[in-house]
Amino acid sequence: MVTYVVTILLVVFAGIKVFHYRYQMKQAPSPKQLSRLVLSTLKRGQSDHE
Amino acid sequence: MMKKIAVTLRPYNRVPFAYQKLKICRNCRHFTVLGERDCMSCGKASALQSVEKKAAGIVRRDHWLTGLVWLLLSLIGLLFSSSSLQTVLVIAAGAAVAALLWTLQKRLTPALRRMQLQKMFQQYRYELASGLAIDHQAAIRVFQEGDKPRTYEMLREIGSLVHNDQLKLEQIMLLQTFQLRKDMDLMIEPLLMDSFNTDLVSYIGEIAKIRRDLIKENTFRYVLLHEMRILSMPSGEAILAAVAGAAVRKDRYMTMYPYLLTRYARFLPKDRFLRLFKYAKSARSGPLYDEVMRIYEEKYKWEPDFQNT
Repeated sequence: MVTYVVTILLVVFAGIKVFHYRYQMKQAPSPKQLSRLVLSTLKRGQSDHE
Repeated sequence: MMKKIAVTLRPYNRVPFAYQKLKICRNCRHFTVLGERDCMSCGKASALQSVEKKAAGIVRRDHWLTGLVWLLLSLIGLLFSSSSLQTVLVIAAGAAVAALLWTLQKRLTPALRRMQLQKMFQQYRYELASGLAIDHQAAIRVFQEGDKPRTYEMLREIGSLVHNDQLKLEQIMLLQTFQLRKDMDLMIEPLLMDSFNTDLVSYIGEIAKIRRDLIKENTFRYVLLHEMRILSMPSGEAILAAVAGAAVRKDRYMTMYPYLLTRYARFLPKDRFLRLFKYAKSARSGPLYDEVMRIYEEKYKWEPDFQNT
Protein backbone atom coordinates (compact mmCIF):
# COMPACT_ATOMS: atom_id res chain seq x y z
CA MET A 1 0.00 0.00 0.00
CA VAL A 2 2.75 2.44 1.00
CA THR A 3 4.60 1.60 -2.22
CA TYR A 4 1.57 2.51 -4.33
CA VAL A 5 1.11 5.78 -2.44
CA VAL A 6 4.81 6.62 -2.86
CA THR A 7 4.66 5.79 -6.58
CA ILE A 8 1.66 8.11 -6.98
CA LEU A 9 3.51 10.78 -4.98
CA LEU A 10 6.52 10.42 -7.29
CA VAL A 11 4.33 10.94 -10.35
CA VAL A 12 2.51 13.90 -8.74
CA PHE A 13 5.85 15.39 -7.71
CA ALA A 14 7.13 15.07 -11.30
CA GLY A 15 3.92 16.66 -12.61
CA ILE A 16 4.24 19.63 -10.23
CA LYS A 17 7.87 20.12 -11.23
CA VAL A 18 7.02 19.97 -14.94
CA PHE A 19 4.31 22.64 -14.57
CA HIS A 20 6.62 24.74 -12.40
CA TYR A 21 9.40 24.57 -15.00
CA ARG A 22 7.01 25.36 -17.86
CA TYR A 23 5.71 28.40 -15.98
CA GLN A 24 9.27 29.58 -15.27
CA MET A 25 10.21 29.03 -18.92
CA LYS A 26 7.34 31.30 -20.08
CA GLN A 27 8.23 34.00 -17.54
CA ALA A 28 11.99 33.88 -18.06
CA PRO A 29 13.38 37.14 -19.44
CA SER A 30 15.87 37.31 -22.28
CA PRO A 31 19.39 38.60 -21.50
CA LYS A 32 18.42 41.85 -23.26
CA GLN A 33 15.39 42.28 -20.99
CA LEU A 34 17.59 41.63 -17.96
CA SER A 35 20.00 44.35 -19.10
CA ARG A 36 17.07 46.75 -19.59
CA LEU A 37 15.76 45.91 -16.12
CA VAL A 38 19.10 46.72 -14.52
CA LEU A 39 19.52 49.94 -16.50
CA SER A 40 16.00 51.15 -15.69
CA THR A 41 16.46 50.27 -12.00
CA LEU A 42 19.65 52.31 -11.89
CA LYS A 43 18.06 55.20 -13.79
CA ARG A 44 15.16 55.26 -11.33
CA GLY A 45 17.61 55.05 -8.45
CA GLN A 46 19.45 58.09 -9.80
CA SER A 47 16.31 60.19 -10.17
CA ASP A 48 15.17 59.22 -6.66
CA HIS A 49 18.59 60.29 -5.39
CA GLU A 50 18.26 63.62 -7.22
CA MET B 1 46.93 74.90 -22.13
CA MET B 2 46.88 72.04 -19.60
CA LYS B 3 49.80 69.61 -19.90
CA LYS B 4 48.58 66.16 -20.83
CA ILE B 5 49.95 63.14 -19.01
CA ALA B 6 51.14 59.89 -20.56
CA VAL B 7 49.13 57.04 -19.08
CA THR B 8 48.62 53.33 -19.51
CA LEU B 9 45.02 52.23 -19.27
CA ARG B 10 43.96 48.69 -18.57
CA PRO B 11 41.98 47.18 -21.46
CA TYR B 12 38.23 47.42 -21.11
CA ASN B 13 36.57 44.08 -20.50
CA ARG B 14 33.64 43.98 -22.91
CA VAL B 15 30.69 41.71 -22.07
CA PRO B 16 27.67 40.82 -24.27
CA PHE B 17 25.20 42.19 -21.69
CA ALA B 18 25.88 44.96 -19.18
CA TYR B 19 24.45 43.11 -16.14
CA GLN B 20 27.21 40.49 -16.52
CA LYS B 21 29.62 43.02 -15.02
CA LEU B 22 27.73 43.05 -11.73
CA LYS B 23 29.05 41.32 -8.63
CA ILE B 24 27.20 40.72 -5.36
CA CYS B 25 28.55 40.27 -1.86
CA ARG B 26 27.64 36.91 -0.31
CA ASN B 27 27.56 38.56 3.10
CA CYS B 28 25.77 41.92 2.81
CA ARG B 29 24.21 41.66 -0.71
CA HIS B 30 26.02 44.82 -1.78
CA PHE B 31 26.20 45.16 -5.59
CA THR B 32 29.27 46.48 -7.40
CA VAL B 33 30.95 46.62 -10.80
CA LEU B 34 34.32 47.31 -9.19
CA GLY B 35 36.48 45.15 -7.00
CA GLU B 36 37.74 41.68 -7.58
CA ARG B 37 37.10 39.67 -4.42
CA ASP B 38 36.72 41.77 -1.27
CA CYS B 39 33.49 43.64 -0.56
CA MET B 40 33.92 47.42 -0.27
CA SER B 41 30.77 47.75 1.82
CA CYS B 42 31.18 45.20 4.63
CA GLY B 43 34.89 44.52 4.15
CA LYS B 44 34.48 40.74 4.06
CA ALA B 45 37.33 39.08 2.19
CA SER B 46 36.62 37.01 -0.95
CA ALA B 47 32.89 37.68 -0.58
CA LEU B 48 32.22 39.02 -4.08
CA GLN B 49 30.85 36.73 -6.76
CA SER B 50 29.37 37.51 -10.14
CA VAL B 51 25.56 37.73 -10.19
CA GLU B 52 25.47 34.99 -12.83
CA LYS B 53 27.42 32.65 -10.56
CA LYS B 54 25.05 33.47 -7.68
CA ALA B 55 21.99 32.72 -9.84
CA ALA B 56 23.60 29.50 -11.08
CA GLY B 57 24.24 28.49 -7.47
CA ILE B 58 20.59 29.06 -6.51
CA VAL B 59 19.37 27.01 -9.51
CA ARG B 60 21.86 24.25 -8.74
CA ARG B 61 20.65 24.13 -5.14
CA ASP B 62 17.06 23.82 -6.38
CA HIS B 63 18.06 20.93 -8.67
CA TRP B 64 19.79 19.19 -5.77
CA LEU B 65 16.68 19.58 -3.56
CA THR B 66 14.53 18.15 -6.34
CA GLY B 67 16.92 15.22 -6.63
CA LEU B 68 16.83 14.72 -2.87
CA VAL B 69 13.03 14.58 -2.79
CA TRP B 70 13.07 12.11 -5.71
CA LEU B 71 15.65 9.95 -3.90
CA LEU B 72 13.73 10.05 -0.63
CA LEU B 73 10.44 9.01 -2.24
CA SER B 74 12.13 6.27 -4.27
CA LEU B 75 13.91 4.86 -1.21
CA ILE B 76 10.73 4.88 0.88
CA GLY B 77 8.91 3.12 -1.96
CA LEU B 78 11.63 0.47 -2.23
CA LEU B 79 11.81 0.04 1.56
CA PHE B 80 8.10 -0.61 1.87
CA SER B 81 7.70 -2.76 -1.28
CA SER B 82 6.49 -6.20 -0.30
CA SER B 83 6.59 -7.94 -3.67
CA SER B 84 8.78 -7.95 -6.77
CA LEU B 85 5.95 -6.31 -8.74
CA GLN B 86 5.91 -3.36 -6.33
CA THR B 87 9.71 -3.12 -6.49
CA VAL B 88 9.63 -3.07 -10.28
CA LEU B 89 6.85 -0.45 -10.17
CA VAL B 90 8.83 1.87 -7.88
CA ILE B 91 12.02 1.44 -9.92
CA ALA B 92 10.19 2.08 -13.21
CA ALA B 93 8.37 5.14 -11.84
CA GLY B 94 11.56 6.43 -10.22
CA ALA B 95 13.60 5.96 -13.38
CA ALA B 96 10.94 7.64 -15.56
CA VAL B 97 10.64 10.62 -13.19
CA ALA B 98 14.44 10.92 -12.95
CA ALA B 99 14.83 10.88 -16.75
CA LEU B 100 12.06 13.45 -17.20
CA LEU B 101 13.39 15.81 -14.52
CA TRP B 102 16.99 15.47 -15.66
CA THR B 103 16.07 16.28 -19.29
CA LEU B 104 13.94 19.26 -18.26
CA GLN B 105 16.57 20.64 -15.89
CA LYS B 106 19.31 20.33 -18.52
CA ARG B 107 17.19 22.15 -21.14
CA LEU B 108 15.79 24.81 -18.87
CA THR B 109 18.81 25.71 -16.72
CA PRO B 110 19.71 28.88 -18.73
CA ALA B 111 16.11 30.15 -18.49
CA LEU B 112 15.92 29.25 -14.78
CA ARG B 113 19.14 31.18 -14.14
CA ARG B 114 17.73 34.24 -15.91
CA MET B 115 14.57 33.95 -13.77
CA GLN B 116 16.77 33.97 -10.67
CA LEU B 117 18.64 37.00 -11.94
CA GLN B 118 15.38 38.82 -12.57
CA LYS B 119 14.20 37.97 -9.05
CA MET B 120 17.52 39.17 -7.63
CA PHE B 121 17.43 42.49 -9.50
CA GLN B 122 13.81 43.12 -8.54
CA GLN B 123 14.15 42.07 -4.93
CA TYR B 124 17.40 43.95 -4.31
CA ARG B 125 16.82 47.03 -6.47
CA TYR B 126 17.69 49.40 -3.62
CA GLU B 127 20.99 47.55 -2.97
CA LEU B 128 21.68 47.65 -6.72
CA ALA B 129 21.21 51.42 -7.01
CA SER B 130 23.07 52.19 -3.80
CA GLY B 131 25.89 49.83 -4.77
CA LEU B 132 26.60 51.73 -7.97
CA ALA B 133 26.36 55.03 -6.10
CA ILE B 134 28.97 53.74 -3.62
CA ASP B 135 31.15 52.70 -6.58
CA HIS B 136 30.92 56.25 -7.94
CA GLN B 137 31.94 57.68 -4.58
CA ALA B 138 34.89 55.28 -4.50
CA ALA B 139 35.98 56.56 -7.93
CA ILE B 140 35.77 60.16 -6.69
CA ARG B 141 37.94 59.23 -3.68
CA VAL B 142 40.55 57.72 -6.01
CA PHE B 143 40.48 60.92 -8.11
CA GLN B 144 41.03 63.03 -5.00
CA GLU B 145 44.06 60.86 -4.19
CA GLY B 146 45.45 61.85 -7.59
CA ASP B 147 45.22 58.57 -9.53
CA LYS B 148 43.53 59.78 -12.71
CA PRO B 149 44.02 56.66 -14.88
CA ARG B 150 42.54 54.41 -12.21
CA THR B 151 39.65 56.87 -11.73
CA TYR B 152 38.91 56.75 -15.45
CA GLU B 153 38.98 52.93 -15.42
CA MET B 154 36.54 52.87 -12.51
CA LEU B 155 34.20 55.40 -14.15
CA ARG B 156 34.37 53.40 -17.37
CA GLU B 157 33.18 50.29 -15.55
CA ILE B 158 30.40 52.19 -13.76
CA GLY B 159 29.46 53.84 -17.07
CA SER B 160 28.66 50.45 -18.60
CA LEU B 161 25.57 50.39 -16.36
CA VAL B 162 24.93 53.98 -15.37
CA HIS B 163 24.12 56.05 -18.45
CA ASN B 164 23.98 59.67 -17.39
CA ASP B 165 25.63 62.79 -18.76
CA GLN B 166 27.43 63.57 -15.51
CA LEU B 167 29.35 60.30 -15.59
CA LYS B 168 30.09 60.70 -19.30
CA LEU B 169 31.39 64.20 -18.72
CA GLU B 170 33.63 63.02 -15.87
CA GLN B 171 35.15 60.40 -18.17
CA ILE B 172 35.65 62.89 -20.99
CA MET B 173 37.26 65.45 -18.69
CA LEU B 174 39.71 62.80 -17.49
CA LEU B 175 40.43 61.62 -21.04
CA GLN B 176 41.22 65.21 -22.00
CA THR B 177 44.03 65.18 -19.41
CA PHE B 178 45.62 62.09 -21.00
CA GLN B 179 47.89 61.90 -24.02
CA LEU B 180 45.67 59.78 -26.23
CA ARG B 181 47.42 57.11 -28.27
CA LYS B 182 46.34 54.74 -30.99
CA ASP B 183 47.06 51.65 -28.89
CA MET B 184 44.80 52.72 -26.02
CA ASP B 185 41.46 51.05 -25.49
CA LEU B 186 39.33 54.13 -26.23
CA MET B 187 35.64 54.60 -26.96
CA ILE B 188 33.25 57.26 -28.22
CA GLU B 189 29.73 55.92 -28.61
CA PRO B 190 29.11 55.24 -24.88
CA LEU B 191 30.24 58.81 -24.12
CA LEU B 192 27.93 60.60 -26.56
CA MET B 193 25.47 62.92 -24.83
CA ASP B 194 22.16 64.33 -25.97
CA SER B 195 23.25 67.94 -25.52
CA PHE B 196 26.14 69.85 -27.05
CA ASN B 197 29.36 69.77 -25.04
CA THR B 198 32.66 71.37 -26.09
CA ASP B 199 34.81 68.82 -24.25
CA LEU B 200 33.03 65.95 -25.98
CA VAL B 201 33.51 67.62 -29.35
CA SER B 202 37.22 68.21 -28.64
CA TYR B 203 37.52 64.55 -27.67
CA ILE B 204 35.77 63.49 -30.91
CA GLY B 205 38.24 65.66 -32.83
CA GLU B 206 41.19 63.91 -31.21
CA ILE B 207 39.75 60.45 -31.76
CA ALA B 208 39.07 61.29 -35.42
CA LYS B 209 42.81 61.83 -35.85
CA ILE B 210 44.11 58.69 -34.12
CA ARG B 211 41.25 56.15 -34.23
CA ARG B 212 39.00 56.86 -37.22
CA ASP B 213 37.44 53.42 -36.83
CA LEU B 214 35.70 54.56 -33.63
CA ILE B 215 33.77 57.27 -35.47
CA LYS B 216 30.46 55.65 -36.42
CA GLU B 217 26.86 56.58 -37.22
CA ASN B 218 25.93 57.96 -33.80
CA THR B 219 29.01 60.16 -33.74
CA PHE B 220 28.37 61.46 -37.25
CA ARG B 221 24.78 62.16 -36.25
CA TYR B 222 25.92 64.07 -33.14
CA VAL B 223 28.42 66.12 -35.10
CA LEU B 224 25.92 66.99 -37.83
CA LEU B 225 23.28 67.90 -35.26
CA HIS B 226 25.60 70.38 -33.55
CA GLU B 227 27.57 71.45 -36.60
CA MET B 228 26.86 75.18 -36.24
CA ARG B 229 27.89 75.23 -32.61
CA ILE B 230 31.03 73.22 -33.39
CA LEU B 231 31.97 75.75 -36.06
CA SER B 232 31.82 78.50 -33.44
CA MET B 233 34.53 76.68 -31.42
CA PRO B 234 38.15 77.80 -31.95
CA SER B 235 39.21 74.63 -33.81
CA GLY B 236 35.70 73.63 -34.84
CA GLU B 237 36.39 73.55 -38.55
CA ALA B 238 39.43 71.30 -38.05
CA ILE B 239 37.35 68.93 -35.92
CA LEU B 240 34.63 68.72 -38.57
CA ALA B 241 37.26 68.13 -41.25
CA ALA B 242 38.76 65.30 -39.16
CA VAL B 243 35.31 63.75 -38.76
CA ALA B 244 34.75 64.09 -42.52
CA GLY B 245 38.08 62.31 -42.97
CA ALA B 246 36.74 59.49 -40.84
CA ALA B 247 33.65 59.26 -43.06
CA VAL B 248 35.89 58.59 -46.05
CA ARG B 249 36.88 55.32 -44.39
CA LYS B 250 33.82 53.46 -45.70
CA ASP B 251 31.77 53.76 -48.89
CA ARG B 252 28.66 53.38 -46.76
CA TYR B 253 29.51 56.53 -44.78
CA MET B 254 30.32 58.45 -47.97
CA THR B 255 26.87 57.50 -49.25
CA MET B 256 25.16 58.41 -45.97
CA TYR B 257 26.92 61.74 -45.32
CA PRO B 258 27.55 63.42 -48.69
CA TYR B 259 26.78 66.90 -47.38
CA LEU B 260 29.34 66.58 -44.58
CA LEU B 261 31.93 65.57 -47.15
CA THR B 262 30.88 68.30 -49.59
CA ARG B 263 31.39 70.98 -46.96
CA TYR B 264 34.77 69.75 -45.63
CA ALA B 265 36.38 67.93 -48.55
CA ARG B 266 38.60 70.97 -49.09
CA PHE B 267 40.28 70.40 -45.71
CA LEU B 268 41.01 66.71 -46.15
CA PRO B 269 44.61 65.51 -46.26
CA LYS B 270 45.76 64.20 -49.65
CA ASP B 271 45.39 60.49 -48.90
CA ARG B 272 41.85 60.97 -47.59
CA PHE B 273 40.92 63.16 -50.51
CA LEU B 274 42.29 60.55 -52.94
CA ARG B 275 39.93 57.96 -51.49
CA LEU B 276 37.05 60.40 -51.72
CA PHE B 277 38.05 61.25 -55.28
CA LYS B 278 37.88 57.58 -56.34
CA TYR B 279 34.44 57.26 -54.76
CA ALA B 280 33.11 60.53 -56.24
CA LYS B 281 34.36 59.57 -59.70
CA SER B 282 32.12 56.51 -59.63
CA ALA B 283 29.13 58.73 -58.78
CA ARG B 284 29.74 61.04 -61.76
CA SER B 285 27.16 63.63 -60.66
CA GLY B 286 25.75 65.45 -57.65
CA PRO B 287 26.97 68.18 -55.32
CA LEU B 288 29.72 65.96 -53.85
CA TYR B 289 31.06 65.06 -57.29
CA ASP B 290 31.05 68.74 -58.35
CA GLU B 291 32.89 69.84 -55.21
CA VAL B 292 35.43 67.00 -55.40
CA MET B 293 36.16 67.76 -59.06
CA ARG B 294 36.54 71.45 -58.23
CA ILE B 295 39.12 70.65 -55.54
CA TYR B 296 40.85 68.18 -57.83
CA GLU B 297 41.21 70.82 -60.55
CA GLU B 298 42.53 73.34 -58.04
CA LYS B 299 45.00 71.22 -56.08
CA TYR B 300 45.61 67.73 -57.46
CA LYS B 301 45.32 67.92 -61.24
CA TRP B 302 49.01 67.19 -61.76
CA GLU B 303 49.47 64.71 -58.91
CA PRO B 304 50.59 61.28 -60.23
CA ASP B 305 48.45 59.40 -57.64
CA PHE B 306 45.32 61.00 -59.08
CA GLN B 307 46.30 60.28 -62.68
CA ASN B 308 46.37 56.53 -62.09
CA THR B 309 42.75 56.32 -60.85
